[in-house]
Amino acid sequence: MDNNCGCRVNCRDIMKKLRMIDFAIYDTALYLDAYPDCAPALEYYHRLIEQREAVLCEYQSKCGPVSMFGNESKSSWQWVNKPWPWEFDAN
Amino acid sequence: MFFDENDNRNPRGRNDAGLRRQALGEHGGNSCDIQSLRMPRPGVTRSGRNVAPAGMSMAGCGCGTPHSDSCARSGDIKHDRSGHDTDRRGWGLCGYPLGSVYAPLQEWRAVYDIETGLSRGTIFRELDMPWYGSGGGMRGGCCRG
Repeated sequence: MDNNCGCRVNCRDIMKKLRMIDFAIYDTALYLDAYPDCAPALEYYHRLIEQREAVLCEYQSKCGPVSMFGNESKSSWQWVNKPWPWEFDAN
Repeated sequence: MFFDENDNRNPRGRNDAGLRRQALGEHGGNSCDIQSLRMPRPGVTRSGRNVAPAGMSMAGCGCGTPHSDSCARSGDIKHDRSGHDTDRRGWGLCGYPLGSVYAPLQEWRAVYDIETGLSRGTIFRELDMPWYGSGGGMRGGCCRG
């Protein structure tokens, strides 16, 4: 996809990174459910959340919304243009 | 999961068959049947001492009889031709030693990088175990090949 700066962005790569981060957050959350006071786990969690925000921002600005909650455009509904979950490009 | 009712080669098979019969009420019933289904095994404290689950009588019908006592009197327990104790005092497990189940506390260590974590299905190296599936995992997940 060409973004507004003219560079070619590999949206799939950014999405892959986002999924890696999300999975790590899920697994960390499971650990924290059992050990809610574990300082290094909490620190790791917050580091991942920061990374996620950055990667999510990058994806949504260059490739479009990740979910219906991320439609950044005020003038168009971009979410409907994204591949549906059952389409290959969505995965 | 299907268990052959006549297959009592392992404790699980014997116990599940016994519980299924209780659920079906094949042996008729008294109040003990209901209690048995709610709490199929006597409780065991950390020290290994048997205790009767709350609300379960220690006397009378035998449902609250500590497991070790049942086994100590295993000669008294009536068995059908399949080897199941017909009055269920032995929980289908007579002759087997008591067991304890424990899990050590996990420590925050050896965390994979996020890419490896996603590909391995866990971010924890020590939980990344070589599980082997077979036939789509429908026949149990511990068999090689």
